[in-house]
Amino acid sequence: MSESLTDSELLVLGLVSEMPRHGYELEQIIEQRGMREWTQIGFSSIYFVLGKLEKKGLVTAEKPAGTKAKKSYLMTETGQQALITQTLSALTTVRPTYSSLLMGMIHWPALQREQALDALNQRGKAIQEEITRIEGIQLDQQPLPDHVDALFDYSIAQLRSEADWLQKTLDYMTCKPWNT
Amino acid sequence: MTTTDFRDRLYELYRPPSDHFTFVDVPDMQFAVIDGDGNPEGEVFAKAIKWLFTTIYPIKQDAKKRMGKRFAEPPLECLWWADDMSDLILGNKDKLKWRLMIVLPHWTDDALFQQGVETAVGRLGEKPTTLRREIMKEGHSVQILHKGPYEELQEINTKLYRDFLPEHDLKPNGFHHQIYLDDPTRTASQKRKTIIRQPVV
Repeated sequence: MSESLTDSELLVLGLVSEMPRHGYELEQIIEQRGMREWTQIGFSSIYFVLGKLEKKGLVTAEKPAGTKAKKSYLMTETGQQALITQTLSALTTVRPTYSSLLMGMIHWPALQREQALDALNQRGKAIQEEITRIEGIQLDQQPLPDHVDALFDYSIAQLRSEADWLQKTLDYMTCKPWNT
Repeated sequence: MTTTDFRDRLYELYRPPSDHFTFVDVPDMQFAVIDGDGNPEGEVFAKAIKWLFTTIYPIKQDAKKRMGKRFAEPPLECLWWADDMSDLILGNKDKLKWRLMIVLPHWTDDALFQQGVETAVGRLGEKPTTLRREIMKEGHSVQILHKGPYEELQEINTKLYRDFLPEHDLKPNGFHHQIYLDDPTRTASQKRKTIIRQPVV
């Protein structure tokens, strides 16, 4: 079976693979590691996702003795295979995420010169603020394993790349003769 | 020093065998250091760890740039001692004194270290009074790698201090040293790797 997992399912499966965890521990880890930055998973969703993973046979629940003990989840062999398959797929698949910027550039001619240039300028400032914010999170999260540091570096590199593009575009559009 | 020499040295220092004690001669190295006392499961210990990792962050970024592929992530290390040695061997946590450490690149000077401290102060507030850069001299040491929960370190300590050292006519010559190769928040307890190191004479 080669069923595809949602991002939330893959995230939770990966966290259970690190060590057996109950739902509340998963919530704490997701919060501590700032994982809501890059995946939508609310607290109530965690139990829903665990239930789905259990139905698919990717995790199994074990409840230790004692009425108040929390149900702990372990990854199964099938889960291990699914994690490997899905993670390899996630690494290799280039899936463009379309920015609202593209829509803005498409309809650029609808705008007045000053308001168009000003909007791009504002975007430039917002990008710098976002870079600073993510760098702050990366620092606050230390220590981070290399592969997670690389994740932050990826986000920052993308933003820096867009900042470069924006500066070039803004310079060009500023110098370009404007109709009307 | 070639890359291979460097890697071999790292392996000698940070990947000892796990089935028997071995000897290693530890060179002088400089560390970011914070001292404290009391239960390592408390908040003071956790906060000190946070301070160390935040302080070394800009230094680490600098090292990554300089060393490229040769860069290796430095682990958290801790020296442990107690006024009464049996408190250490028996693991009486409230009686323990500790020195948390992370190794620094040999080129780290006051200016670079201060930059790290200022970064940490900017994020975490007032700095611990004992946060400092210090050269550690360990020299001739016994060490072993443990794989498993931290709770099991106790029995290795017993074997080291009550069996191995007396059998080899050795005495401790410095503090008990633990090196935590894995982040315990990301690694199941049975998979954790910890080096135990004891300078001897």
